[in-house]
Amino acid sequence: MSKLKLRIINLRRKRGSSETQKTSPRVESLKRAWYNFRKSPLSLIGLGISLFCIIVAVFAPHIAPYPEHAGFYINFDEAYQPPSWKHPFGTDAYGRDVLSRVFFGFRFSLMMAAVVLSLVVPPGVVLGLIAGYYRGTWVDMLIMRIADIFIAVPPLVLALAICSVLEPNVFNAMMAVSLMWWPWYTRLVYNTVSSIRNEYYVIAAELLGVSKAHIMFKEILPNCLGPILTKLTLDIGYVILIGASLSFVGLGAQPPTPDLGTMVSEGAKYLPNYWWVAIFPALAIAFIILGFNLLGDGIRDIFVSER
Amino acid sequence: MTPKSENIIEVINLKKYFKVSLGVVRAVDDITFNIKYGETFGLVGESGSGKSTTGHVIVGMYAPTSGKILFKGQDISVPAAKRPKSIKKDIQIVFQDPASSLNPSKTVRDIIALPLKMYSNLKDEREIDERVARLLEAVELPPEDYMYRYPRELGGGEKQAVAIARALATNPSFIVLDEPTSALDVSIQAKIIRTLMRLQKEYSLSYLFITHDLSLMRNVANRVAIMYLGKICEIATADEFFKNPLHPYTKMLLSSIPVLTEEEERLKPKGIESRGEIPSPMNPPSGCRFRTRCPFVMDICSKKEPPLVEVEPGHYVACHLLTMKAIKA
Amino acid sequence: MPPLLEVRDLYVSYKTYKGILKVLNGVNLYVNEGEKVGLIGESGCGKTTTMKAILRILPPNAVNVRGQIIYKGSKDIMKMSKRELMKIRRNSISMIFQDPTAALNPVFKVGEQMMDIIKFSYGRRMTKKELKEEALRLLREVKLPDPERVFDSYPFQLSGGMRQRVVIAMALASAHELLIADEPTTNLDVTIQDQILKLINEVVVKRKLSVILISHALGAVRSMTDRTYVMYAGDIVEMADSRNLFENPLHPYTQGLLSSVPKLTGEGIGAGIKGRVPDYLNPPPGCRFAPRCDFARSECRKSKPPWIEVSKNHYVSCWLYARK
Repeated sequence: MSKLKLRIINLRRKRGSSETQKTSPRVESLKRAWYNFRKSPLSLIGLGISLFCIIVAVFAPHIAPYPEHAGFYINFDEAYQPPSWKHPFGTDAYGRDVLSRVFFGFRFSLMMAAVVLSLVVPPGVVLGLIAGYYRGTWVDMLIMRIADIFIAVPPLVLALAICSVLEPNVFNAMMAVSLMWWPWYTRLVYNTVSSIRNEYYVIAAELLGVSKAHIMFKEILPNCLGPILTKLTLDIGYVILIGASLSFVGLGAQPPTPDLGTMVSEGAKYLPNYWWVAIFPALAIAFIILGFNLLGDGIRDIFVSER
Repeated sequence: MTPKSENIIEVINLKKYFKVSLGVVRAVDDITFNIKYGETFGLVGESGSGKSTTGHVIVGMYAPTSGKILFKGQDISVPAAKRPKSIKKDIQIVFQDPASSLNPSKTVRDIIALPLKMYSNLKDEREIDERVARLLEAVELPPEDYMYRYPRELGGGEKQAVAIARALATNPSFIVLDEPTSALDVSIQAKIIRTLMRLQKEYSLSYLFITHDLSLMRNVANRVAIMYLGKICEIATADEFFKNPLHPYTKMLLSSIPVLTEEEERLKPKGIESRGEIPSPMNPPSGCRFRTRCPFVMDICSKKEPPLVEVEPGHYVACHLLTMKAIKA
Repeated sequence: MPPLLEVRDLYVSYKTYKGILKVLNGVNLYVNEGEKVGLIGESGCGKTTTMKAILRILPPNAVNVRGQIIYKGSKDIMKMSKRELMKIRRNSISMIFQDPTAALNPVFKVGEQMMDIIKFSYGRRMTKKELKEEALRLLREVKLPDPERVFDSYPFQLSGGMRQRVVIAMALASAHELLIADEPTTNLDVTIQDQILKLINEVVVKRKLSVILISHALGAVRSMTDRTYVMYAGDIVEMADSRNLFENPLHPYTQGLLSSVPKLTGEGIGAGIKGRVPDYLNPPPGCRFAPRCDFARSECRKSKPPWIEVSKNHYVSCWLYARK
């Protein structure tokens, strides 16, 4: 193998494999994904909304007009102001700027979603991989029946139950939600793996004597990403909703935390006179969930077109 | 080391049954044959014949239900996981469906590197790159163009070439080729077959070539066995098999194949037409399995299974009619 | 008498993430009444696209579709209204696809699906009894051994060969003039393939149908068709009476293709054809086969070769035959 040839091969690793392909294969994959994604205008809207919410969440302390209103703040002179140039979303019972609190609400909600999903996805996926790989054996039975038990209980109900027994705070709420969530990923991955597990490339790896762990994580898992990513994105919205619901009934974040659900709960007392205190946080919840749902649809489109 | 016998593979009374919800599928039901060093042994049959299952059991995808498989004299009648590493690397398989043979999320380089990492002593990534490149050259895929492609960017023939390169990576002496070109266009099939023939000479390989395409078999195999519903009906050299087919099923199959020229038309057996459907392997006919479609069926055919008998030197047939003819002669 | 179907200068492209794939490059073909025409060529050359264009069932990402598809010498299918198109699909042209399992709805019994099609195609009001009788009649016509049982079965309960017979029966319900068979036997066993092809032949002769047969089984095309077209990368490159084409191929691609087919005589395998199929994104200007052709000359790379009659009813699109 001449040195020159080896150099060319190395070049292709980054630059792509032929004259017609100027970019590396990974970049080509991304280009193709983007093309399939942007076919639907709704997905683009979803992407826009999601990005907006994320940016707001990340930069909330810097872009909120009154960042100090996010926490403990009282100024009864300014209370119950209707929407104005100074306070585009009005102020609440304590004189806090609703707009700023909504921005921090995004921050809080997305943080909660991130924590819950990072607790839920890895174990859920791993269990699904194992159960799917060992499909038909006792391992499969054990894992999937346990998953079935958890799935049978409605998430909100169990979360309510756990939170009412333990101290009502954010941490417990997140734990409760996480406990309910993992089996959905197990089931999802289980189904995907079941169809992949008997493909010839997996069998070829098994015949080589490659370790089971390698087969599950390096051969099978990369081909399951589609459904996992789609569900993950859609779940962001769902977790936020559940979190907000818990807070709404007082079992999640406690005041003065700027949680969207708590805000709606507090503001509900003042409907319909001081409508802005409850309506804007409620709209914010709807907005962020809509964004991630549309984004999730778009991500699903990417992987559906792979076939 | 001189081989003890001239056979690299010996299959003795092999059976493979599968339990399914509706019953038992007797995919392979007591077959016996040998493959010599350096030969291409053809296994031909239609769906349900058990030809693919035979290949899969030999390569270690399943344990046999009963019977033995000997490789270079050693008993390997266990699944691949239980075989020693030296055996595992020595037997390889190229599968039928190129689309399913390659991991869609990996590049060609990584696909071929996997067996290298398992079985060769190469540790350095650059050394592995070099070996992968040489293997790609062996199957006529220029490495500069193909190493970093994903399977979905490749055509069927190119995918199969990668599958062959992967099989060669462990330096095997025996390769099972399970319908390697069935899914390919005819001009690409020609290229792949030529590559396989060339590699056989270069690397002293023995092949078990499984296909349903008789015209293809005619041109690649040294000896041919034909299977029907889990049983072997006939074994002969390729010449004998095609010039002097004896078993009624062989004749029926040969008369059904579409050919392109008058010359070939004349070579096909006359007077025997395809009829009937292939029975289910879960419930094969008693006695001779082919009797429900055989124009020469006799009473004994439903009662007793015909044994595989050498009616002419090197030419074996499992058919009561022909056994009787041979005895008379 | 004008041909039953005539495709003139058909161009079809597909839109993908990489760009526009210019697949069909000016396809011309015709089928006379009562004639059996074969269309051979390898995967991706555009045979199925052409057939889908005829029935106007191209996928949504098909763009730049132009050309004419003249039916019975007068009407252009490309310009027909929805209503007229429905009439054609209902009464005149029908298509059999490659995978019988995909053509049948797995959750309905065969009988229900057949009655559905008959109801749609026959255009007159029929009672359930009449529909069932007609369905059974068609199932008998395709030589299914137990039509009643098949009528009452779900597709998964039937073998591949039986499913394909059902599909043919369904096609016969609405094929009263032209039957397009796109790889009708590729997924079937060899002995069953033979039976199905003979069946198609019988049915076609009995009903005096015209047929377009697309198949990889070149031998089948040879024995079953009167005339055959050869297609490569969106171009028709050769056409001749079937026996003639297979004994005496003129176009370098056809020669390469036929020499690659393994022969029962045991002469060995041909060399195949060097190179790859062209990239439809940037197809070669001129003759699309030129990059792979051993006989390519400068004009081949510059302009598309003309359609030349080399001998009686034997045409080639190749510069090699232009001078003569």
